[in-house]
Amino acid sequence: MHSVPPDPGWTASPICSGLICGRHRVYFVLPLIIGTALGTKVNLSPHVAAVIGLGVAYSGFLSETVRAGLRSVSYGQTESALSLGMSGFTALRRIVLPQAVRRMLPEAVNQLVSLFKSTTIVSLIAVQDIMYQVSMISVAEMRPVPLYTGAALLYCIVIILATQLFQRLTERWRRRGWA
Amino acid sequence: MIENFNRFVLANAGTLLDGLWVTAYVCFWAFLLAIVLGLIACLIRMRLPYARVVAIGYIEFCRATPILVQLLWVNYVWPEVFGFPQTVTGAGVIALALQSSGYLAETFRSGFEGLPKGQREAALAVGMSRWRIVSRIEAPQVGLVVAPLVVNQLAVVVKSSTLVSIIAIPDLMYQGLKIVNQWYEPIEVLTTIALTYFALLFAISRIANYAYVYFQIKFGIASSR
Repeated sequence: MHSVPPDPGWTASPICSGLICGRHRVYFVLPLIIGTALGTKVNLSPHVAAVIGLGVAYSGFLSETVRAGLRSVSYGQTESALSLGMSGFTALRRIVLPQAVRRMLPEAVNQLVSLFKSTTIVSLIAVQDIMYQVSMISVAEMRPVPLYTGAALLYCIVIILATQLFQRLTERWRRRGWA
Repeated sequence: MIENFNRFVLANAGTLLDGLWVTAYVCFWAFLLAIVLGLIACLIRMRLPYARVVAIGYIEFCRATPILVQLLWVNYVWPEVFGFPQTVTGAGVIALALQSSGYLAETFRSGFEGLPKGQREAALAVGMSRWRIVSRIEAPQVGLVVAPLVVNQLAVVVKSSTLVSIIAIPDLMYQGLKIVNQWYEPIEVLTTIALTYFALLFAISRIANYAYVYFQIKFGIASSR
Protein backbone atom coordinates (compact mmCIF):
# COMPACT_ATOMS: atom_id res chain seq x y z
CA MET A 1 0.00 0.00 0.00
CA HIS A 2 2.86 2.33 0.72
CA SER A 3 5.01 1.46 -2.22
CA VAL A 4 3.18 4.07 -4.31
CA PRO A 5 5.32 7.07 -5.23
CA PRO A 6 4.44 10.42 -3.64
CA ASP A 7 1.71 12.31 -5.42
CA PRO A 8 2.63 15.13 -7.71
CA GLY A 9 1.27 18.46 -6.58
CA TRP A 10 -1.55 18.51 -9.10
CA THR A 11 -3.27 15.40 -7.76
CA ALA A 12 -2.81 16.46 -4.16
CA SER A 13 -4.07 19.99 -4.46
CA PRO A 14 -7.75 19.58 -5.48
CA ILE A 15 -8.08 16.62 -3.12
CA CYS A 16 -6.76 18.50 -0.17
CA SER A 17 -8.35 21.92 -0.48
CA GLY A 18 -11.98 21.63 0.53
CA LEU A 19 -14.65 21.30 -2.11
CA ILE A 20 -16.65 24.31 -1.05
CA CYS A 21 -13.53 26.41 -1.06
CA GLY A 22 -12.82 25.22 -4.59
CA ARG A 23 -16.32 26.16 -5.63
CA HIS A 24 -16.15 29.65 -4.22
CA ARG A 25 -12.70 30.12 -5.60
CA VAL A 26 -13.85 29.27 -9.10
CA TYR A 27 -16.91 31.47 -8.81
CA PHE A 28 -15.14 34.49 -7.41
CA VAL A 29 -11.51 34.16 -8.30
CA LEU A 30 -11.41 32.62 -11.77
CA PRO A 31 -13.33 35.48 -13.47
CA LEU A 32 -10.96 37.95 -11.85
CA ILE A 33 -7.87 36.07 -13.00
CA ILE A 34 -9.20 35.65 -16.54
CA GLY A 35 -10.34 39.27 -16.51
CA THR A 36 -6.94 40.49 -15.41
CA ALA A 37 -5.28 38.36 -18.05
CA LEU A 38 -7.54 39.66 -20.83
CA GLY A 39 -7.67 43.18 -19.48
CA THR A 40 -11.48 43.17 -19.36
CA LYS A 41 -14.14 42.10 -16.91
CA VAL A 42 -15.47 38.55 -17.20
CA ASN A 43 -18.42 37.04 -15.35
CA LEU A 44 -18.91 33.29 -15.14
CA SER A 45 -22.51 32.25 -14.75
CA PRO A 46 -23.07 30.19 -11.59
CA HIS A 47 -23.75 27.09 -13.72
CA VAL A 48 -20.43 27.33 -15.51
CA ALA A 49 -18.61 28.01 -12.25
CA ALA A 50 -20.30 25.01 -10.62
CA VAL A 51 -19.38 22.68 -13.48
CA ILE A 52 -15.76 23.88 -13.59
CA GLY A 53 -15.40 23.72 -9.80
CA LEU A 54 -16.83 20.23 -9.42
CA GLY A 55 -14.91 19.05 -12.45
CA VAL A 56 -11.57 20.35 -11.20
CA ALA A 57 -12.17 19.06 -7.69
CA TYR A 58 -13.05 15.55 -8.86
CA SER A 59 -10.36 15.38 -11.54
CA GLY A 60 -7.86 14.93 -8.71
CA PHE A 61 -9.75 11.99 -7.23
CA LEU A 62 -10.31 10.40 -10.63
CA SER A 63 -6.67 10.74 -11.63
CA GLU A 64 -5.81 8.70 -8.54
CA THR A 65 -8.34 6.07 -9.63
CA VAL A 66 -6.93 5.96 -13.15
CA ARG A 67 -3.41 5.72 -11.80
CA ALA A 68 -4.34 2.78 -9.58
CA GLY A 69 -6.08 1.08 -12.50
CA LEU A 70 -3.12 1.50 -14.83
CA ARG A 71 -0.68 0.30 -12.20
CA SER A 72 -2.78 -2.80 -11.53
CA VAL A 73 -2.01 -4.16 -15.00
CA SER A 74 1.35 -5.90 -14.66
CA TYR A 75 4.19 -4.23 -16.46
CA GLY A 76 5.23 -7.50 -18.12
CA GLN A 77 2.23 -7.19 -20.43
CA THR A 78 3.36 -3.79 -21.67
CA GLU A 79 6.86 -5.14 -22.11
CA SER A 80 5.74 -8.13 -24.14
CA ALA A 81 3.46 -5.93 -26.25
CA LEU A 82 6.39 -3.63 -26.93
CA SER A 83 8.65 -6.56 -27.77
CA LEU A 84 6.06 -7.74 -30.29
CA GLY A 85 6.58 -4.43 -32.04
CA MET A 86 3.53 -2.49 -30.91
CA SER A 87 4.04 1.20 -30.43
CA GLY A 88 3.59 2.55 -26.91
CA PHE A 89 0.22 4.04 -27.74
CA THR A 90 -1.06 0.85 -29.37
CA ALA A 91 0.07 -1.20 -26.37
CA LEU A 92 -1.75 1.21 -24.08
CA ARG A 93 -4.91 1.21 -26.19
CA ARG A 94 -5.10 -2.50 -26.96
CA ILE A 95 -3.48 -4.25 -24.01
CA VAL A 96 -3.47 -2.10 -20.91
CA LEU A 97 -6.55 0.10 -21.09
CA PRO A 98 -9.16 -2.67 -21.68
CA GLN A 99 -8.05 -4.37 -18.48
CA ALA A 100 -7.39 -1.21 -16.51
CA VAL A 101 -10.78 0.33 -17.31
CA ARG A 102 -12.60 -2.73 -16.06
CA ARG A 103 -10.73 -2.58 -12.78
CA MET A 104 -11.32 1.14 -12.45
CA LEU A 105 -15.08 0.87 -12.95
CA PRO A 106 -16.29 0.20 -9.39
CA GLU A 107 -14.19 3.02 -7.99
CA ALA A 108 -15.24 5.34 -10.80
CA VAL A 109 -18.88 4.58 -9.99
CA ASN A 110 -18.18 5.46 -6.35
CA GLN A 111 -16.72 8.74 -7.52
CA LEU A 112 -19.77 9.41 -9.65
CA VAL A 113 -22.11 8.84 -6.71
CA SER A 114 -19.93 11.01 -4.54
CA LEU A 115 -19.96 13.72 -7.21
CA PHE A 116 -23.74 13.49 -7.34
CA LYS A 117 -23.85 14.06 -3.60
CA SER A 118 -21.49 17.00 -3.88
CA THR A 119 -23.74 18.75 -6.37
CA THR A 120 -25.90 19.82 -3.41
CA ILE A 121 -23.15 22.30 -2.58
CA VAL A 122 -23.74 24.30 -5.77
CA SER A 123 -26.91 25.70 -4.21
CA LEU A 124 -24.57 27.97 -2.24
CA ILE A 125 -23.62 29.91 -5.35
CA ALA A 126 -27.28 30.18 -6.35
CA VAL A 127 -27.52 27.39 -8.89
CA GLN A 128 -31.15 26.41 -8.51
CA ASP A 129 -30.88 22.75 -7.53
CA ILE A 130 -33.09 20.84 -5.08
CA MET A 131 -31.48 22.20 -1.93
CA TYR A 132 -31.74 25.77 -3.22
CA GLN A 133 -35.44 25.38 -3.92
CA VAL A 134 -35.99 23.66 -0.58
CA SER A 135 -34.31 26.43 1.38
CA MET A 136 -36.20 29.09 -0.61
CA ILE A 137 -39.56 27.40 0.04
CA SER A 138 -38.84 26.79 3.70
CA VAL A 139 -37.89 30.43 4.16
CA ALA A 140 -41.18 31.43 2.55
CA GLU A 141 -43.33 28.90 4.38
CA MET A 142 -41.51 28.99 7.75
CA ARG A 143 -41.96 25.24 8.11
CA PRO A 144 -38.57 23.56 7.68
CA VAL A 145 -39.37 20.12 9.17
CA PRO A 146 -41.27 18.37 6.37
CA LEU A 147 -39.27 20.03 3.58
CA TYR A 148 -35.81 19.15 4.82
CA THR A 149 -36.85 15.64 5.87
CA GLY A 150 -38.39 15.14 2.44
CA ALA A 151 -35.24 16.36 0.71
CA ALA A 152 -33.07 14.05 2.82
CA LEU A 153 -35.26 11.03 2.08
CA LEU A 154 -35.43 11.94 -1.62
CA TYR A 155 -31.64 12.09 -1.90
CA CYS A 156 -31.30 8.89 0.12
CA ILE A 157 -33.65 6.93 -2.15
CA VAL A 158 -32.31 8.35 -5.41
CA ILE A 159 -28.70 7.65 -4.46
CA ILE A 160 -29.36 4.11 -3.25
CA LEU A 161 -31.26 3.34 -6.47
CA ALA A 162 -28.58 4.98 -8.62
CA THR A 163 -25.83 3.00 -6.88
CA GLN A 164 -27.66 -0.26 -7.48
CA LEU A 165 -28.30 0.65 -11.12
CA PHE A 166 -24.68 1.60 -11.81
CA GLN A 167 -23.44 -1.54 -10.12
CA ARG A 168 -25.71 -3.67 -12.31
CA LEU A 169 -24.63 -1.91 -15.48
CA THR A 170 -20.92 -2.03 -14.79
CA GLU A 171 -21.16 -5.60 -13.53
CA ARG A 172 -22.31 -6.68 -16.96
CA TRP A 173 -19.64 -4.65 -18.66
CA ARG A 174 -16.91 -6.00 -16.40
CA ARG A 175 -17.90 -9.60 -17.05
CA ARG A 176 -17.99 -9.16 -20.83
CA GLY A 177 -14.96 -9.97 -22.95
CA TRP A 178 -11.42 -10.43 -21.79
CA ALA A 179 -11.55 -9.46 -18.17
CA MET B 1 -1.40 41.92 -4.86
CA ILE B 2 1.01 42.26 -1.93
CA GLU B 3 -0.77 45.33 -0.52
CA ASN B 4 -4.06 43.53 -0.79
CA PHE B 5 -2.60 40.49 0.92
CA ASN B 6 -1.35 42.62 3.81
CA ARG B 7 -4.61 44.48 4.04
CA PHE B 8 -7.07 41.60 3.86
CA VAL B 9 -5.22 38.54 5.11
CA LEU B 10 -2.53 39.70 7.53
CA ALA B 11 -4.71 42.40 9.07
CA ASN B 12 -7.39 39.79 9.71
CA ALA B 13 -5.03 37.00 10.71
CA GLY B 14 -6.44 36.89 14.23
CA THR B 15 -10.00 36.36 12.99
CA LEU B 16 -8.88 33.71 10.55
CA LEU B 17 -6.94 31.88 13.27
CA ASP B 18 -10.05 31.97 15.48
CA GLY B 19 -11.87 30.38 12.57
CA LEU B 20 -9.19 27.72 12.20
CA TRP B 21 -9.53 26.94 15.90
CA VAL B 22 -13.31 26.52 15.55
CA THR B 23 -12.73 24.26 12.53
CA ALA B 24 -10.35 22.10 14.58
CA TYR B 25 -12.81 21.98 17.49
CA VAL B 26 -15.76 20.95 15.31
CA CYS B 27 -13.72 18.35 13.42
CA PHE B 28 -12.29 16.83 16.59
CA TRP B 29 -15.63 16.27 18.32
CA ALA B 30 -17.35 15.21 15.11
CA PHE B 31 -14.67 12.66 14.37
CA LEU B 32 -14.67 11.27 17.89
CA LEU B 33 -18.45 10.93 17.85
CA ALA B 34 -18.28 9.38 14.38
CA ILE B 35 -15.83 6.69 15.51
CA VAL B 36 -18.00 5.79 18.50
CA LEU B 37 -21.24 5.74 16.48
CA GLY B 38 -19.59 3.88 13.62
CA LEU B 39 -18.19 1.20 15.91
CA ILE B 40 -21.55 0.74 17.63
CA ALA B 41 -23.41 0.55 14.29
CA CYS B 42 -20.85 -1.86 12.89
CA LEU B 43 -20.99 -4.22 15.90
CA ILE B 44 -24.80 -4.15 15.94
CA ARG B 45 -24.88 -4.89 12.24
CA MET B 46 -22.52 -7.84 12.56
CA ARG B 47 -23.40 -9.38 15.89
CA LEU B 48 -27.00 -8.68 16.93
CA PRO B 49 -29.51 -10.73 14.95
CA TYR B 50 -32.68 -8.58 15.09
CA ALA B 51 -31.28 -5.10 15.57
CA ARG B 52 -29.12 -5.42 12.47
CA VAL B 53 -31.96 -4.27 10.19
CA VAL B 54 -32.04 -0.98 12.07
CA ALA B 55 -28.25 -0.68 11.84
CA ILE B 56 -28.30 -1.36 8.10
CA GLY B 57 -30.97 1.29 7.60
CA TYR B 58 -28.98 3.78 9.67
CA ILE B 59 -25.72 3.10 7.80
CA GLU B 60 -27.36 3.29 4.38
CA PHE B 61 -29.15 6.52 5.27
CA CYS B 62 -25.95 8.11 6.51
CA ARG B 63 -23.98 7.09 3.46
CA ALA B 64 -26.59 7.93 0.85
CA THR B 65 -27.50 11.44 1.99
CA PRO B 66 -25.29 14.37 0.99
CA ILE B 67 -23.57 16.19 3.83
CA LEU B 68 -25.25 19.50 3.03
CA VAL B 69 -28.69 17.88 3.25
CA GLN B 70 -27.81 16.27 6.57
CA LEU B 71 -26.42 19.52 7.89
CA LEU B 72 -29.58 21.50 7.09
CA TRP B 73 -31.76 18.61 8.23
CA VAL B 74 -30.07 18.36 11.62
CA ASN B 75 -29.94 22.12 12.01
CA TYR B 76 -33.58 22.87 11.20
CA VAL B 77 -35.45 19.65 11.87
CA TRP B 78 -33.85 18.07 14.92
CA PRO B 79 -34.42 20.97 17.36
CA GLU B 80 -38.16 20.86 16.59
CA VAL B 81 -38.56 17.08 16.52
CA PHE B 82 -36.00 15.80 19.02
CA GLY B 83 -35.18 19.07 20.75
CA PHE B 84 -31.49 18.59 21.27
CA PRO B 85 -28.88 20.34 19.20
CA GLN B 86 -29.61 23.71 20.78
CA THR B 87 -26.57 25.44 19.26
CA VAL B 88 -25.43 25.57 15.63
CA THR B 89 -22.09 24.13 16.67
CA GLY B 90 -23.83 21.10 18.11
CA ALA B 91 -25.81 20.69 14.91
CA GLY B 92 -22.63 20.89 12.83
CA VAL B 93 -20.85 18.33 14.97
CA ILE B 94 -23.80 15.93 14.87
CA ALA B 95 -24.27 16.24 11.11
CA LEU B 96 -20.59 15.65 10.34
CA ALA B 97 -20.55 12.74 12.76
CA LEU B 98 -23.67 11.19 11.21
CA GLN B 99 -22.22 11.25 7.73
CA SER B 100 -18.85 9.83 8.77
CA SER B 101 -20.26 7.22 11.11
CA GLY B 102 -21.95 5.51 8.17
CA TYR B 103 -18.71 5.32 6.21
CA LEU B 104 -16.68 4.32 9.28
CA ALA B 105 -19.13 1.55 10.15
CA GLU B 106 -18.57 0.00 6.73
CA THR B 107 -14.80 0.47 7.07
CA PHE B 108 -14.79 -1.29 10.43
CA ARG B 109 -16.97 -4.05 9.06
CA SER B 110 -14.56 -4.65 6.19
CA GLY B 111 -11.77 -4.88 8.77
CA PHE B 112 -13.65 -7.38 10.94
CA GLU B 113 -14.65 -9.50 7.97
CA GLY B 114 -11.08 -9.53 6.68
CA LEU B 115 -9.96 -11.48 9.74
CA PRO B 116 -9.70 -15.25 9.34
CA LYS B 117 -12.74 -16.95 10.84
CA GLY B 118 -10.58 -19.53 12.58
CA GLN B 119 -9.38 -16.98 15.12
CA ARG B 120 -12.88 -16.34 16.36
CA GLU B 121 -13.66 -20.04 16.51
CA ALA B 122 -10.45 -20.75 18.38
CA ALA B 123 -11.22 -18.02 20.88
CA LEU B 124 -14.74 -19.41 21.38
CA ALA B 125 -13.28 -22.88 21.87
CA VAL B 126 -10.95 -21.55 24.56
CA GLY B 127 -14.04 -20.16 26.28
CA MET B 128 -13.78 -16.42 25.80
CA SER B 129 -16.95 -14.33 26.02
CA ARG B 130 -18.12 -12.41 22.94
CA TRP B 131 -17.06 -9.05 24.27
CA ARG B 132 -13.65 -10.39 25.26
CA ILE B 133 -13.13 -11.80 21.76
CA VAL B 134 -13.86 -8.41 20.26
CA SER B 135 -11.69 -6.47 22.67
CA ARG B 136 -8.72 -8.84 22.95
CA ILE B 137 -8.53 -10.74 19.64
CA GLU B 138 -10.27 -8.77 16.93
CA ALA B 139 -10.09 -5.06 17.80
CA PRO B 140 -6.26 -4.80 17.96
CA GLN B 141 -5.80 -6.41 14.56
CA VAL B 142 -8.69 -4.53 12.97
CA GLY B 143 -7.37 -1.26 14.36
CA LEU B 144 -4.03 -1.79 12.69
CA VAL B 145 -5.55 -2.71 9.33
CA VAL B 146 -8.24 -0.05 9.28
CA ALA B 147 -6.17 2.91 10.53
CA PRO B 148 -5.28 4.44 7.12
CA LEU B 149 -8.91 4.36 6.02
CA VAL B 150 -9.98 5.99 9.28
CA VAL B 151 -7.46 8.77 8.77
CA ASN B 152 -8.80 9.17 5.24
CA GLN B 153 -12.19 9.71 6.79
CA LEU B 154 -10.72 12.34 9.09
CA ALA B 155 -9.54 14.17 5.97
CA VAL B 156 -13.06 13.91 4.55
CA VAL B 157 -14.47 15.33 7.79
CA VAL B 158 -12.12 18.30 7.66
CA LYS B 159 -13.08 18.97 4.06
CA SER B 160 -16.79 18.64 4.77
CA SER B 161 -16.42 20.95 7.75
CA THR B 162 -16.08 23.90 5.34
CA LEU B 163 -19.81 23.46 4.79
CA VAL B 164 -20.74 24.18 8.40
CA SER B 165 -20.09 27.85 7.62
CA ILE B 166 -23.51 28.04 5.97
CA ILE B 167 -25.31 27.39 9.26
CA ALA B 168 -23.24 30.24 10.72
CA ILE B 169 -20.67 28.32 12.71
CA PRO B 170 -17.75 30.76 12.76
CA ASP B 171 -15.16 28.43 11.23
CA LEU B 172 -12.31 29.35 8.89
CA MET B 173 -14.50 29.42 5.78
CA TYR B 174 -17.12 31.56 7.53
CA GLN B 175 -14.58 34.13 8.70
CA GLY B 176 -13.03 34.20 5.24
CA LEU B 177 -16.36 34.71 3.49
CA LYS B 178 -17.19 37.45 5.97
CA ILE B 179 -14.04 39.34 4.98
CA VAL B 180 -14.81 38.72 1.29
CA ASN B 181 -18.34 40.04 1.66
CA GLN B 182 -17.11 43.08 3.52
CA TRP B 183 -14.53 44.23 0.95
CA TYR B 184 -15.51 42.35 -2.23
CA GLU B 185 -11.90 41.25 -2.68
CA PRO B 186 -12.03 37.47 -2.97
CA ILE B 187 -8.67 36.59 -4.52
CA GLU B 188 -6.24 36.82 -1.63
CA VAL B 189 -8.53 35.64 1.16
CA LEU B 190 -10.02 32.63 -0.60
CA THR B 191 -6.66 31.53 -1.98
CA THR B 192 -5.16 31.78 1.49
CA ILE B 193 -7.98 29.68 2.90
CA ALA B 194 -7.55 27.08 0.17
CA LEU B 195 -3.83 26.87 0.87
CA THR B 196 -4.50 26.60 4.61
CA TYR B 197 -6.84 23.65 4.13
CA PHE B 198 -4.35 22.12 1.73
CA ALA B 199 -1.53 22.42 4.26
CA LEU B 200 -3.73 21.06 7.04
CA LEU B 201 -4.84 18.00 5.11
CA PHE B 202 -1.45 17.35 3.61
CA ALA B 203 0.05 17.41 7.09
CA ILE B 204 -2.64 15.06 8.40
CA SER B 205 -2.08 12.53 5.63
CA ARG B 206 1.73 12.65 5.89
CA ILE B 207 1.80 12.31 9.69
CA ALA B 208 -0.72 9.49 9.49
CA ASN B 209 1.41 7.78 6.86
CA TYR B 210 4.52 7.84 9.04
CA ALA B 211 2.54 6.74 12.10
CA TYR B 212 1.03 3.89 10.12
CA VAL B 213 4.41 2.61 8.93
CA TYR B 214 5.80 2.95 12.47
CA PHE B 215 2.95 1.00 14.04
CA GLN B 216 3.05 -1.64 11.32
CA ILE B 217 6.73 -2.23 12.01
CA LYS B 218 6.24 -2.23 15.76
CA PHE B 219 3.01 -4.21 16.16
CA GLY B 220 2.15 -5.59 12.71
CA ILE B 221 2.52 -9.10 11.37
CA ALA B 222 6.11 -8.38 10.33
CA SER B 223 7.08 -7.65 13.94
CA SER B 224 6.00 -11.06 15.26
CA ARG B 225 8.18 -13.00 12.85
